[in-house]
Amino acid sequence: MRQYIVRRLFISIIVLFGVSVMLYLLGRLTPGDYVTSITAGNPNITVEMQERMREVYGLDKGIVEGYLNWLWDALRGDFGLSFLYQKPVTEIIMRYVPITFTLAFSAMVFEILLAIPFGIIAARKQYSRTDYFIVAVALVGISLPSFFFAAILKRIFAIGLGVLPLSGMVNARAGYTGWARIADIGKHLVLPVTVFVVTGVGGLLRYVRTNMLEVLNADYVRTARAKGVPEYKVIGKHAFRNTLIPIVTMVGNMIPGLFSGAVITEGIFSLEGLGNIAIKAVQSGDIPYLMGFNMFIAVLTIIGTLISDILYAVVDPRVRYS
Amino acid sequence: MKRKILSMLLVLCMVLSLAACKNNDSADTANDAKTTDNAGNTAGTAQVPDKVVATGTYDTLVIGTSSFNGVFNPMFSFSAFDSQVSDLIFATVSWLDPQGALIDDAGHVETEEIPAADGHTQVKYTVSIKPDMKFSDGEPVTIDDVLFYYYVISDPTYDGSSTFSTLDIVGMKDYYYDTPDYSEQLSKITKEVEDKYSLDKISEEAYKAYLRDTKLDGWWEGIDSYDWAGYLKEEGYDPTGIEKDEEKLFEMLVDCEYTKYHDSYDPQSYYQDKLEGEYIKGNLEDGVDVPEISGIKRVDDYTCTVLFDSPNISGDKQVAWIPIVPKHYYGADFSKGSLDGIKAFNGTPLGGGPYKFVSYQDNIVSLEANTLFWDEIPKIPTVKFQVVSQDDQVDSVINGDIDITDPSASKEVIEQLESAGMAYSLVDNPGYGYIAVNAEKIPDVNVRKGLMHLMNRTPAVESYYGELAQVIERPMSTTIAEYPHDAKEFYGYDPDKALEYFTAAGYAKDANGKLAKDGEQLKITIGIGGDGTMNHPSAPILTQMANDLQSMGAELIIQDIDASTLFDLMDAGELDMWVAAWSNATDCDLTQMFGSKGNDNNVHLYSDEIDKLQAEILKTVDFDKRCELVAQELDLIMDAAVYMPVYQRKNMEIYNTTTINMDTLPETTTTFWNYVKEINKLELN
Repeated sequence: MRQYIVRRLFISIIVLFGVSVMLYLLGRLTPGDYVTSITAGNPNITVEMQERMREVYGLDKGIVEGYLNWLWDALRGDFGLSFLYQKPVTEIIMRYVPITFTLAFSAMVFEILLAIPFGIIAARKQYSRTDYFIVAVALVGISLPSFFFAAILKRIFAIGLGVLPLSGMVNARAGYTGWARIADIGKHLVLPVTVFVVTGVGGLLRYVRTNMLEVLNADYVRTARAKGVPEYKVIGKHAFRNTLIPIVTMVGNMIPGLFSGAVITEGIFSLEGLGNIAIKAVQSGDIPYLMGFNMFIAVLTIIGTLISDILYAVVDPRVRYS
Repeated sequence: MKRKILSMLLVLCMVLSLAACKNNDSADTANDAKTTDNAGNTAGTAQVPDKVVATGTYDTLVIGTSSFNGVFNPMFSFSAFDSQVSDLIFATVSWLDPQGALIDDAGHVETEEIPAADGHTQVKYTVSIKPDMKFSDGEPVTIDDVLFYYYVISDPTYDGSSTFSTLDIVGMKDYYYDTPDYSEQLSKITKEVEDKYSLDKISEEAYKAYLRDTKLDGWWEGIDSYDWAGYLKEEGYDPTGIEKDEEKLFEMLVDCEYTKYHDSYDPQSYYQDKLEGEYIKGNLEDGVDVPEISGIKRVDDYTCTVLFDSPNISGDKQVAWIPIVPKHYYGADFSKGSLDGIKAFNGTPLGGGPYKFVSYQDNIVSLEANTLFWDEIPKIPTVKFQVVSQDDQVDSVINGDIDITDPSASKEVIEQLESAGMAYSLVDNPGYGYIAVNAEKIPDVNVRKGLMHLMNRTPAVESYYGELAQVIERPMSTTIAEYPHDAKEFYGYDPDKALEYFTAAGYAKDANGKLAKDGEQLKITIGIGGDGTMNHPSAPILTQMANDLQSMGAELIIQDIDASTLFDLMDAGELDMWVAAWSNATDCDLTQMFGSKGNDNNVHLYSDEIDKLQAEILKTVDFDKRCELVAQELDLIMDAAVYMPVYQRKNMEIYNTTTINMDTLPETTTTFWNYVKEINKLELN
């Protein structure tokens, strides 16, 4: 096992290197660099000023030289200053992680809380009305575009009924502090989290349902039933626990998603999360931020898959890595 | 055993999630603590200011804005939304009155023309600030703060939006290039270039080196970019056997161009730029040689002078329409070439304006009234800027979340506001929309004029904007004082006339019904940024143009592309035509757009007559005379058929009548004057 982990870590380094080369290439080859984007529309900027600015931002260097400079700094933990925010990339990421994480994590918790029981119910009553209803609702959720669903929610709950805030993180006018502030943030997150949950729960629910169906048809469940074990015990002890195994391994894969942000939903609700920042960075050619942020996500993805692979081996004795 | 592993696993998962949660919490707290710390610093050094108390029910004005970059520093911010915040935090020396003329704010500027030693006219600006003003931390404001600002924006490593360093201020070039006798050195280079590289003196070797370095002045784009072998044959060369040998073919071309077209190239300018560039680069790396700008002088604690070597119509705005930034706060360790210390304060601004910075968190910037403000102290204790998505701006005002914001104006928005009883104002946007034609891609002026006659602007603008925009006739924002309001339409919509021009250009219908010249069909590519759905005020113009051209046997290829791709293609000169808009027009100087050496001359208009007029305009201080010259210049540009001005749209500002005491808003709101200018008089209900 240890050998396997070491080998995987070693491969991860090569993967990260490849990812960084590709990201840098893509970033630099995107039409319009940062200097063009900030000086566009300003008729007084001269070519010379633009060139001087490119020098300041290191954009005058070739792609290879620029990449090697970035790599050298990054290896020493320096991801540079974001062009847009004029602050260290790591500081920007740390500043916006809480918002993104709170949103994604609470959505994930609700998704799990809904997906597991409803998935089990749907599986137990396969092909019944309940099953069809649950699966249909899940499919509707998957198919709903988030911007459309968000607009409907806003129209009903914020504009129509006026019970929930339209957008933002807190009520600016009230300026709450302490617990009142936390409650205020909670209130502001209700709609965005609902959008996440409704559009995201379907996938997980169908996964639970399929797994449960498989387990319910297994011999040991039939044996348990034949032994006269009460149904709730058959489901709760024998079947459910085995369904959890693949779900637990899925958690690893979900880690990067907690930090990557959701461009559309964050934008609609004016939440300054990492997704929103990333799209702004793409539009304006903020190479240091894009590199720092994407590498952060790449590392998380690699760690996530590694963890889930390891967990899988731990959970399922049939899987052995050598 | 299995159970144990499983339960351990579940515990591990829980711990992982909680740990992630905890990290997040601590990051959040650290973030909060930092903000509070900064606020503490600001308040701590102040002279125990008395707080402003609300006059009515509401004590906080909430302004709806778009996302911040967090650079609340007028020297470095590029985002209009960051600037919106700094506008309240920093006082200015002078600013613009409702009509756009420069007037005093916390200072004053005097203009004086003086003759230089050699007889040419120089202009001296005397900039003064009011005595006894204080920044919000209690420190006095002096002229050193103004000088500090000049030096930061003139710094060789400056990367903000100011173009101050390009002004013709005495000693500016020496400072910027860090060369004590820059002009002398430059004339030496110019002389050297004239002696060695002018067309009649240049050596064959140097000439060919120029052709190789510039790839035949940009003509050569690789072996497949043109029928080079055919061209060489026509010129009497024999490329047989080397048609596929890139190196040899290119070398033969260099020889051909040198021998036969010696006079058509301009190696002199190339060597001038090259040597200048090398010289400048060489100078920046050996420490500071020029520590001061000789034309900028401190007179006393509250006065300084800035000497321009030539008249400049916007010189007074350049030197006086500036924020006053505290040197003691930003520039404690400022030295030429190092601006990092200043940028460190980007997130925690401090100035002497009506409000002072408290915090920036949760996408909200909080400010509180500055009781040390030099003018009437504001009446609203707290101002907050909240980020609101564009789609929510109007609803947020109606449901009371925000008080003032600026959505894009539309008929629907006006109806919605009126039915909700909210107030709004409409002002002209300082910019305009246009359709441009690249004269290099379409060199025949008759073809360009024909295209101009196919642009049916009025129905397009009316259907998109209604009364919220008007069609304009010259390529300049109507908010510029020099705009010729009596200008008549230059090219009316007239397909017959267009066809006449195409015929004059040598195009005729061929056997297949195609409008062609020398066997080539008239095909024009135009770029537009219409979100992929042609959602653009100028889109109907293009659609109609495409139909008209099609019925004539020509073709218009419309590319609806992303704005940054559009600008990139435009810069690279790959589009025949494109649709775009200018914003932030501040004066009538069009040298960058239409001057032969202009940075934004993407239409490739090279006219000595226009260049001459532009130079004259920039020196003409008399307003009426300048208007005349500008009108002439604009007519010439129109006649060159490279720019079709389309619309001048209006900007909107909306107000929450429930919270704002409407009687305290400015009497007139214009492009240059809104509630921000009189924020200290604004009251809430």
